[in-house]
Amino acid sequence: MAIFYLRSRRVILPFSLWLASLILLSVQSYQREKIGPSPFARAVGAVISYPERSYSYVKSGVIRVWKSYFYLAGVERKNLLLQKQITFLEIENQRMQEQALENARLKSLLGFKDSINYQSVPARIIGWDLTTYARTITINVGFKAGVRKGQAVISAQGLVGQILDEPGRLSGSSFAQVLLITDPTSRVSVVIERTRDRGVVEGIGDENKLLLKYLSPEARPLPGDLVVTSGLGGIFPPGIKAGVIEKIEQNPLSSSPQGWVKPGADFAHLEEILVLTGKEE
Amino acid sequence: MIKDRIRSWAIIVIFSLFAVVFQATVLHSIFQDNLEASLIFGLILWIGFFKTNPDGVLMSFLLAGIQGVVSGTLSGIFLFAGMSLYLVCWILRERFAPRTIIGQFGFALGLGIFYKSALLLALELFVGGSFFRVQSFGYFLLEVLLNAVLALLVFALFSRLPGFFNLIPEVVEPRRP
Repeated sequence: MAIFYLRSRRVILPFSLWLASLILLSVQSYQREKIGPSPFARAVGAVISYPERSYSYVKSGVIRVWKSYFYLAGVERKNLLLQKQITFLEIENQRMQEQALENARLKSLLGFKDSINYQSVPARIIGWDLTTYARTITINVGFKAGVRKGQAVISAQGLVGQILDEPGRLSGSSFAQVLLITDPTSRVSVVIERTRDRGVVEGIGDENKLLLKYLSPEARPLPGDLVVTSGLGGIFPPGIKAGVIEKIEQNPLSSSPQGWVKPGADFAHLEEILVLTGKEE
Repeated sequence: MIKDRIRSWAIIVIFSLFAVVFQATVLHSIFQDNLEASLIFGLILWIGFFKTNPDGVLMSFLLAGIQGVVSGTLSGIFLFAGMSLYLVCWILRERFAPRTIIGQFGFALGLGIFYKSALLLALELFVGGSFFRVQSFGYFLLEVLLNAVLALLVFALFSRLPGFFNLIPEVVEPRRP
């Protein structure tokens, strides 16, 4: 009897936990909007945000040192006489160039910020998602800075995504997760600037491609047309560049056209971004 | 014995947090969005084959849960895929405990395909979208290969840690006296 009990307990536990994971997944799937992340998830998110932040700073520091010093080591060998002088001057020059580039980036971001009537919080990327099937990033600002679920995230080049806070994609007091518009679950209501035709851009997991769907059969978009947010849905302010149409084709399932859009934001080199925290008074 | 158990649990928690950070930063910088290098996959495989219950199943649940909560998609997806992986390993281990490196690599490859398929299926069924076209089949196979190699490294590490290699009671137990 005791052996049977031990054996059955050994069998029951793995199957029960497997079943529990399936039930949890079902609940999350149907109640995604209603249930927030658990305290356990928030604690894990907070703990890992610190090493992620450190990694981000160390990485950018190493890249800066690499660019400003090690690259010059090859030059140094060529001219021993002027080695020290050139090295110091070049390092200084590199540092200033780096600062000038950063200034230009921040200026364009500020200029962009001024052009939209929204309060915003600047942020930096500190981490990425763990799976090839999602396109999310972690940024270094959170609830403490006024960042909330559903707020839009933009860069100087265009739309980036929106803030999330749900199981598996959570935000905390000093970090937040952003659903990029390239994520397969992302849908953004847009309008073609030239023709004012409405549609939806959908992520397909490719950082260089978005699918423009649900255009009316009468729509006549052309390659090169600018696609901007429509403002419908209330998350993204209207008029933010989502991308440029690259190719138009016929939707195989309907009489409407559909298009492939190159995103405005450069997701491969994204560094500084803005979170739109609310409309300016 | 108790000391070994406490140490095992502490190592699992520290390793899983380290793995999650490492995957989200260094490994992501290397492989970008093309491949998903996973250390936790290797550890769940190891636990599934070589760790006795109830510690083994609870550790797998914790590992899959930690990976899930910061995964970038619904946390239940990784929890479900991780527990499915554990369950298959656990069912197989009574007959096929892989002891040689080639055997372990073969199992890691086969179960890597199973794990990815479970993830994809769960995403399609519970999240909805077009996840099948996110990754090409070539990258899919490359990722399975990469994770099998990483799994061998995890196996090599954990087989040297006291308190981890305790497959004897369940696996080597004779079926008939």
